[in-house]
Amino acid sequence: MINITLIGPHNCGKTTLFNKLTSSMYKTVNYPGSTIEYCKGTTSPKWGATFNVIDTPGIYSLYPDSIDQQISVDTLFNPKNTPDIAVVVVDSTQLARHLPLLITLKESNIPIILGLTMLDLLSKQGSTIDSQKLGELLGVEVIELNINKTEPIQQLLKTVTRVYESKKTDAKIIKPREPNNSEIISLFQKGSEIEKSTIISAQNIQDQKHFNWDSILLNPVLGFLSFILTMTLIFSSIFWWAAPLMDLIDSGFGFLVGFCKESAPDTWWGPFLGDGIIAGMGSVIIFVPQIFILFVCMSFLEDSGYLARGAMLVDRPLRAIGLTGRSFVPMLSGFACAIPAMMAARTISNKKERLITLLILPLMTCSARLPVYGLIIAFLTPRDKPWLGGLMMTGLYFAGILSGSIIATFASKMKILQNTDKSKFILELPAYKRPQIRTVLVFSLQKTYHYLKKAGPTIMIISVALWLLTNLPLKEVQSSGVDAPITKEFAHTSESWAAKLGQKLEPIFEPMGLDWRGGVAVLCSFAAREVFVSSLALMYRIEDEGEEQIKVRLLNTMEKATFMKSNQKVFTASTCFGILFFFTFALQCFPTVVVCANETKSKAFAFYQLIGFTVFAYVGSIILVQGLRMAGIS
Amino acid sequence: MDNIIKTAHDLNRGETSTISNVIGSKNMIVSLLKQGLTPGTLIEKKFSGTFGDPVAYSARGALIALRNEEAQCLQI
Repeated sequence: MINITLIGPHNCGKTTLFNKLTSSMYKTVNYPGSTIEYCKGTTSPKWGATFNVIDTPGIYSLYPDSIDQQISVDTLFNPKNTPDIAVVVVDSTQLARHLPLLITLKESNIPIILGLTMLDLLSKQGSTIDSQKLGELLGVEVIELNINKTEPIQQLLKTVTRVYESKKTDAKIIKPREPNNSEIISLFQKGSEIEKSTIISAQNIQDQKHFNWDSILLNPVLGFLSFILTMTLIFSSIFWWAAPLMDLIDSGFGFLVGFCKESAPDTWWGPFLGDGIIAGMGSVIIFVPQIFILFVCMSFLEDSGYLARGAMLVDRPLRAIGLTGRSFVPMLSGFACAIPAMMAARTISNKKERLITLLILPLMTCSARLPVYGLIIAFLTPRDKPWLGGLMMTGLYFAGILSGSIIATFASKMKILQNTDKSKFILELPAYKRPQIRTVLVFSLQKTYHYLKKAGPTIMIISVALWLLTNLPLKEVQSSGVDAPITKEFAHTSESWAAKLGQKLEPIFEPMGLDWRGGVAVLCSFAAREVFVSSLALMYRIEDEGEEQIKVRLLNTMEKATFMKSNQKVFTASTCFGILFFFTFALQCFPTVVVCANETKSKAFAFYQLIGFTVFAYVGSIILVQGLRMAGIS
Repeated sequence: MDNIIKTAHDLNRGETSTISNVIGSKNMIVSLLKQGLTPGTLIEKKFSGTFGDPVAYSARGALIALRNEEAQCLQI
């Protein structure tokens, strides 16, 4: 099968073409021998021929300065896997700026086809392009890619086959030498000359008459206001839109759990299936709406072209704390999950800024913290005052951002992280466009699926193991009367294996205000934060079956929970604040630690980050709980 | 002498000029040149955002955000 690699500058329409070719059916794959990802797919059956297609991050030259751009260059010059054809995608409205890449790449002997995009934008500017002449001047095949039509795509694929068949087999692929400054200048001069002789402009260009959104969105006053408004809208939509769906899922699973236990009351597998497996599954699936909505918002912003503007707007404040505007997108992704966020940090070219970004990303309130915060806040706030809960949740988001900023400020002053590479911010702001609903949905579904695949098995295993630990060993019970048969029953939680293990741990968690059951739930949260909620449910044996929703039952059970030796309540206000503090800082996510070690290429960095944040969280929460108690808050 | 040579940073909003020279560290020059900000290129100061830094400039049909420090490397 012919391998096509799509290559081109940022925002040239490469990914739109890729989605069109593959019908958005693609997966992100690791580059051989590393953890670097790129998008790979095969052409959709509707185009007839089948080709492998690879989409690469945008580059301006073959000598890039950030890790994500290095991926593109590596896909071109990997000796084991060079592309059969490189389709260089060029924005027709920026011909002179985009052609130098193609001109340099021509020296590599990789067969090239030029795909011209943004032709609709060009005609809006009152210009047309002579693509035949362009092809003659450059010595490559040129396809006008009007993405909304099918003919150009078919024509492109036909050309791919033709160019592939006619290529010289003996030509060795070489990486062109890095051009010096005067060569770069003459490359752009050549680009300008070609642009002048191929772009035909109409007499009176009325481009300036178009309304420019940037006059609002990059306006000194309105710009920042609309930025704040956009961010508020995103985060409130995560809660408001997701809430009804989450309630529905919660009720559904609550019903299933009840059904399992009621329909098989005297079996071991009824409660096992209900409390162990189904409730465990429910604790994963309940966050799907929030995660999906967050990704929809993110990809909508990215596709529209606003994300780059956001990065520009916050560059100044972020620079004050040792970061860069380019940290904005990773930080925003961090509100969904730290793992994709850490990968997004590859676009930061400055090593020091990249490391500081990686350092503080786990402090952004990721979606796995939401269920924990949600539960504790629901427990702390009266049910008739939902606004108070909303306010606390916002406060916790700010706490994450604020503590991240403080730590970044300190880290940027540290000697170890100093380097000579000067901080830069040169970022192209793409033209605004209407996001494609299909692309947005496919992207968000993929990311959500990724979440389920990652968190699902962990949560299932922990749930099942915890269920077994809290219900075993079986004890022999003789019902009334001497002759009555001996039956086997599950142990009470207090006599279970979990209790024996957990009680040894109680001294560790008691200063935080937790008994051994809460302590086990905290320990389990190190597999994945959200496991805390399902573990609490298992450890405290929800018994109040009157309510429909699992969450309400859990809240009632928490209300009643007491220390076994003293009968004092476990979940007091101070304990709850302690838990919130602990979850704000502790790095309880093992996959994040692994990804961080990969991204920084430093196991020590990831290790110190894990220990530092977790010890701080533990000590800090003890100080908070004990301090509150001394101040008279139980 | 320094204040006689103007840079892209000194442009007023909506004002256009031609880049005459690109100065700065080796790394900075390459980064700016790669973006097509070469001598002879027309550059217009477009939008200054809230903090007045970075500022969006238009050149060769693209809108590019540059920090003031970087814009000061583009002599006009």
